[in-house]
Amino acid sequence: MAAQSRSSEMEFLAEEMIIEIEARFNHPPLKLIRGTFGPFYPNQRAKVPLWLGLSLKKQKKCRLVLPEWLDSEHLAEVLRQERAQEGIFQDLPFYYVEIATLLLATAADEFPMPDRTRSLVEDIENVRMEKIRRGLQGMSDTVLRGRSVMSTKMNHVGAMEITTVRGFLTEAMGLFYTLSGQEVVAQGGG
Amino acid sequence: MDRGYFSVDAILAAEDRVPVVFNTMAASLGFLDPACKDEDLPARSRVELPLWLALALQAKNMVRVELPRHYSARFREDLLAGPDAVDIRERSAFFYETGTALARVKRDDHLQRTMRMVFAGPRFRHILDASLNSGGDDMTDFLQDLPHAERALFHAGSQGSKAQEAYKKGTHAQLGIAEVLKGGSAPVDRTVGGQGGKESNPSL
Repeated sequence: MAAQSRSSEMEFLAEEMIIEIEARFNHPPLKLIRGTFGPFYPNQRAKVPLWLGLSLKKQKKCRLVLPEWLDSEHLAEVLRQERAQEGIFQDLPFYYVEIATLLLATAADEFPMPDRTRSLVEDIENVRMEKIRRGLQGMSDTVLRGRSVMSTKMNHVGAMEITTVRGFLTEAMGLFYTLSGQEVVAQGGG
Repeated sequence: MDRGYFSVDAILAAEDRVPVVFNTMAASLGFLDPACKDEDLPARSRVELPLWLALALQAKNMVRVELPRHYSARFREDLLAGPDAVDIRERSAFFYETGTALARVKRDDHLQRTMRMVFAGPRFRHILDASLNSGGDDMTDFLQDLPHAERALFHAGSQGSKAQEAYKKGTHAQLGIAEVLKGGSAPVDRTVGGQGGKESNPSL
């Protein structure tokens, strides 16, 4: 499937994550397909799916409570660790890019330092992308050393990162498999 | 590359010409060899046939398939010495695919291994870097010299990175409501045959 539609899908799925809001309205419990949320009272916290939180925020019906991992100090530490530890990825939410992007776009006023947060997330993305690139390069080096590449390990990798390299990774591994000579092909006419 | 019996890539690749030597005389096939004046093709004639036909005839022991010059031992040395310096596409757009089929038929592990080394070396690195980093650059020069399999790899990579850029810029499409679910002023007639329900059949 085209990578473009995949990133819309990833964002859609990211919006299912639960976020805390501080309601500015009164409402009895909301029965949604995935569960019941609320009841809602002014100035009381409640948990809702992200898409609902964003929609309410846009209508100025609530405040959004930022997830803890989006705190700038925490992100700065994640970035430090990401740079320090070579072959592994730090433990971030699967949809960290999508969630950060959506919150920064819709609820920038909830961030103490939105620009700093945005740039930290970008730096983290770039460091991780570079690790993925090195991992892909490593695959071909493995083949050059005469070993076959059947799988590759990417712990804690994010949705956006997968979407970006999915096409290349599957195509490359398919080619390595073809070139390994192990593929069984039906011979026509014989 | 799409795989399987109906793989378009495999079908196109099998059109590549390979030299064969006829084991027996072939009646009325003299036209296959431009140098032959007779109606019948004599045994030991060397002729170029498409791979699919060559393999089919070899399976019946009518011909012996030979390796085209770009799979010869000499060419392999040149390739291994400088994989990214050789214009592979000029020899065959389906270099890897045809080569793999020939390596299987001739049981030539060295040929298979050579192609692996050629692909996995600097060529792979260039394609990886170019496809993930090229942004909006014009890559036609780069792509021009790439055989089919490498072009496919490049496109797979560049689609992914372009999609990521589009997301960052906010130019990606948003998922919307399916047309059939959008409300309208008139109730949608979902009955089979289109006769409607209670509204259009007041007698019910």
